[in-house]
Amino acid sequence: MMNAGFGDLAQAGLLRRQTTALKVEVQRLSSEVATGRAADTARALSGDLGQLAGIETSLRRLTAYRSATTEAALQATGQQGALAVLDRLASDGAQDLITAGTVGQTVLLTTAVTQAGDRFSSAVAALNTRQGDRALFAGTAPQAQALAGADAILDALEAEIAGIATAEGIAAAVGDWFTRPSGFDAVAYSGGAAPGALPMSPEDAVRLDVTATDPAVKATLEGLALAALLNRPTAPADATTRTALARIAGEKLLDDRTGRSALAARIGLAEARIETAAQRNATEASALEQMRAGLLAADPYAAATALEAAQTQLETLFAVTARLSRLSLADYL
Amino acid sequence: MSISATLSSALSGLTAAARAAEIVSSNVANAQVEGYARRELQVAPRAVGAAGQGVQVVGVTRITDRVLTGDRRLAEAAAAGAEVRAGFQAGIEALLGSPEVAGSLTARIADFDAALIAAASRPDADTRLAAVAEAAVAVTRGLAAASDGVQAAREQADGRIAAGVGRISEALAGVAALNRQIIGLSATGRDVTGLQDQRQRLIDGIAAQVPLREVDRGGGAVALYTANGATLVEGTRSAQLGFTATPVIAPGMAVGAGLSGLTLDGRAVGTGPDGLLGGGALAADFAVRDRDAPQVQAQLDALALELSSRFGAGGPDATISPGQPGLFTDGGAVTVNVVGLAGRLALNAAADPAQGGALFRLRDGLGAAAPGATGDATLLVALQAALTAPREPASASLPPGARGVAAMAGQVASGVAQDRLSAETEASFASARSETLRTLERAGGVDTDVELQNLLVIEKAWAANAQVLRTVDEMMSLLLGIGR
Repeated sequence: MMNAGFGDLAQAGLLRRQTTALKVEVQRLSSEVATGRAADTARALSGDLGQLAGIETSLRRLTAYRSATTEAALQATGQQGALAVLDRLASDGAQDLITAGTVGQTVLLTTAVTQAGDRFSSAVAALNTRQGDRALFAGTAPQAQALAGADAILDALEAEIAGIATAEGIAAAVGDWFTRPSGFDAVAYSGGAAPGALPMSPEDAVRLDVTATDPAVKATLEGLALAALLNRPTAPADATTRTALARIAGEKLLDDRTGRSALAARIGLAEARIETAAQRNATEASALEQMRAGLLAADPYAAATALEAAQTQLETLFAVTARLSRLSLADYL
Repeated sequence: MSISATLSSALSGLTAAARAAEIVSSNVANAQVEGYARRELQVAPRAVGAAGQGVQVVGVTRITDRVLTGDRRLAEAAAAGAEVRAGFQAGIEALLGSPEVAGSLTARIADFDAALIAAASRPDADTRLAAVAEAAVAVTRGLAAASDGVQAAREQADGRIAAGVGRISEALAGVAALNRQIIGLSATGRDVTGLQDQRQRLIDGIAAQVPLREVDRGGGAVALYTANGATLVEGTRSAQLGFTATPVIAPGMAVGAGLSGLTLDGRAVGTGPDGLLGGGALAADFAVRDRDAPQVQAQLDALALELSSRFGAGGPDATISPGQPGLFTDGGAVTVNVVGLAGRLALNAAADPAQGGALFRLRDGLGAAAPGATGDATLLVALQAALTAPREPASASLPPGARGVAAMAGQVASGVAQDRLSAETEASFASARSETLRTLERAGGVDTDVELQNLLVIEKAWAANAQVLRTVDEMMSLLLGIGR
């Protein structure tokens, strides 16, 4: 009496499953179209997230390096500026002092010596330049001031040369004070050691290690100090000694010119390296951004087309479901 | 005599038609019930002596395809198992996060890297040092959250096993009881199709948990075996499954070391692919709890060990004496036990202002008593170099190859993503297969159109038999009217 037929539940179950699958597909595609990114990153990359992780890490690192290069460039520029001031003071001072020292006129000497006093203060002030809240020439102790005040240094030098009568003797004593560790480095300099290499990029590191204890700087200060001492009340009154000292100071400042240019070149080299590193970082960052976009992006046209197709399919399925539900023998009995 | 025979035949026809209508109405009423087997009426000519006389109802049969049902149950078990594994992998992937998402594990390590670079550029700035401390704490929090998530997944799996074992034991006992009833009733010739339906529903209820094979035993009883041969129900006796739930699971707990295994009638039984109860959702939960989750935990612990050892004694910080914890501590102490380290990793209290430490120790060394040169970036530069230096991993749980810490985390994320994709592929294949078999099985179910067609035929038969009865009645009244 009975024949098999096709169970009701089979039809209903099939339609239900297909509707659900299509709806899920439509949702996935619409989120892809809306955000422009693949909905399931791991599936789009076939589970290989190592490259993406590497790109993300490098990008974050390059952002940090960008601020590091900017700050380092700023510091290098500041140091160059201060050293330029120092150089100008030294050259002007050298000229005046040598002229006064060779000609020997009292008026010239007095002018040169007074100016030397001012120049020495300006030089110390230039070396004490702060950028933000950091001293530029204080090494690893940027909170501190690089040098003691001009007057304090001259006081210490006065104590050093007390009792010496000859110009050569005074020059030698001052020179010794500047070079020996217990002199300038201990008394006048209150900064720290020279800083080490700072990384500017994953491959580069740059040393901005010029402090106020650099030999070229110290030599310039020595020359200016020697002349400035003549401005002090306790200076030797003897005209010959004064003239001789002025001449020695002027020659010292002149001799040190090569040292100062070498210093400027060193910082200039560091600036160039910082600039190169910054540019290289920027190029690498933009290339990585492009790679990341390439990995994560979903083709908008393909996604939109697929979404259109899925929606049409879903509508067709709804129409079929409606039709099939009307096909029942019970309606015809 | 022949008239009464006609009467009796017509009556038997009416009875058969009535029974057939009852079957049709039962079928139509249960058309939407999942697991209902279509009934068919078996009729045969009635023999009285050597001649036939009317029709008799032989019985009601349930139309089932045993083979198809068996296949469907096995496919369901495979699909349920694959579903459990895919769900676990997806959960772990969500915990670790995709690398392009801020807050993922790899992103946190990259942020720590960047903070170290920024601090090296301005080591005197407390804000930069504070950013380093924050980034380090964020890394430890990310690892801890992932570790907690893994253990939570194990606890959930354990809970599901406990609930599943309870359900299975109840269902097995029910099947055994129904076996007894069916044997008894069918011996007396009564209709047992309702009980058979009930029994099929009970078995279908546990088919997803454990892959079953149903075998016919005489007298209407069935025996149940697992796909790998363990007896679950034999005649009227059902097996007992034993399991103790562990509500709180910590890393390092395993079967025999704080976790319970599965027992069948008091004997320990395996749930691996070749074990007696292998395959199915129950075995998959065991695999998640005892194999997959501990694997992920081991990888997280290995990452924590990398951080702990690269920044510890013998590393860039010379102020740490041997035997003292480094920048990343194991809950404040030196790392001794790697198991569960990811959940205990913390920033050294000496450098963490939130724990009473001071930020200058990030720059001057953990053993520094007082702040040193504020512009000295050597230690910070060395720390950043240690983080990114390519080294072979300290633990064997990470894939070999010299990498920085961030790249190792990327490898872990990759591994988890690949596991999730392959688990999803398996799950979708298994579910498609089980759906196909279910559709095929349902195709043999009730088709209301066919039942209504049959009802038309039954109606005709009823009308015909009723007409015969009326005619016979008229004939008999004629006969009785002769004598008047």
